[in-house]
Amino acid sequence: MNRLAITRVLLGALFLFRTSALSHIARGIHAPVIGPLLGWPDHAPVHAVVGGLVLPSSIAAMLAIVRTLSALSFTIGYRVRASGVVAAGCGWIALAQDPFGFTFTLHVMLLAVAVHAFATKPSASSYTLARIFTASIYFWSAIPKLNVAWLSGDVLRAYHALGMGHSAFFLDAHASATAIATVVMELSLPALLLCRRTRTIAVIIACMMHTIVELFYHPDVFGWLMVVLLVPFWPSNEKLSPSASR
Amino acid sequence: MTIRSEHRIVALIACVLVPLATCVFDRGAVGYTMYAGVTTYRLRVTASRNGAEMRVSCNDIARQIGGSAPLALVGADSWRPGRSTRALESHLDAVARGACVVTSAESVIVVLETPSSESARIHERCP
Repeated sequence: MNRLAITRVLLGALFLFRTSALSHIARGIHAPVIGPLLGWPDHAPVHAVVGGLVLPSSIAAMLAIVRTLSALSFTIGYRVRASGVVAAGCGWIALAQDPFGFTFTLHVMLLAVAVHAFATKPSASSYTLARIFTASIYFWSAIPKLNVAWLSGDVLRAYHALGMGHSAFFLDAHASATAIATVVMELSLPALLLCRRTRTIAVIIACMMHTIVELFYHPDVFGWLMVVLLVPFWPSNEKLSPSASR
Repeated sequence: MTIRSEHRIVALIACVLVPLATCVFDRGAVGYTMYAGVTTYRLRVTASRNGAEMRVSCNDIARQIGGSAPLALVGADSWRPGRSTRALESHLDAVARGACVVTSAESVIVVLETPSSESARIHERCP
């Protein structure tokens, strides 16, 4: 099994886990799944939805089932492109039907499934797409942190005060150092990951960062998702065609 | 780096256009803003019926709105923390409709406050 196939299987499994009631066993889930599947209708008298269109319960339930079956198909490698795009699309519809349940972790996971639906064949081009996508997540995660509230450590101190982070890393002067180190790592990782010479060390740094964050603060399944998306960077002796056909 | 034109288009959408467009979801900030901020907020919901005004509990409203709304509404009568108030700002009308269901009032006023200012306000006539 090549690294892209491993990524697809792990990503699909994480998707199925996070968009079903199974996710209740995980710690730190920020918007828990209500009902058996994400987007399952709950028959409340009032709904908040993006765009004002409330889907009938039967349609919402059908979309949740189609999404799950598509994610299963994506995971096992059957019609990967179509199933990945359908799974992600149905996932975004579910998020639009529940804007209070929107989290960027879910959004990035859906985007990852959509991208990996197009990066199935183990060609150089597919690996480049998968790697650029992962690198871009680090870059775009750093941008909103470039402000005084984050860099001064105030956000981390607030998390600690709210019981959402339990480490000395979140306290006093350490908070600012931790906040700055996070931004520096997130801004450096894209270049380090994309450069062949520094790729292995970058994967180690990234995995260490996610492990530390996971130990002291549970950011939904974001850490797991990123470790999965780092698989295409693992060193390997795979022989790749420059641009394999579909 | 070798990349086919089809993959180039997917990369452009997923790595540039979508992150730029995420400002739709989180206070105009570009990029993935998860865990980058924290705020506190309070909701003041007042219902009017027969000329009399009454405060409406956010916990009662939370039970009337579907999905994950309770995550943002429970305990919001007092100052409470949250990562962002964007979803609340965009969906105060749903909060007002929930208050209408709870109180059978003629109209409802919902005010979202943050420590620095009154963020948003809505006055909704109940059906």
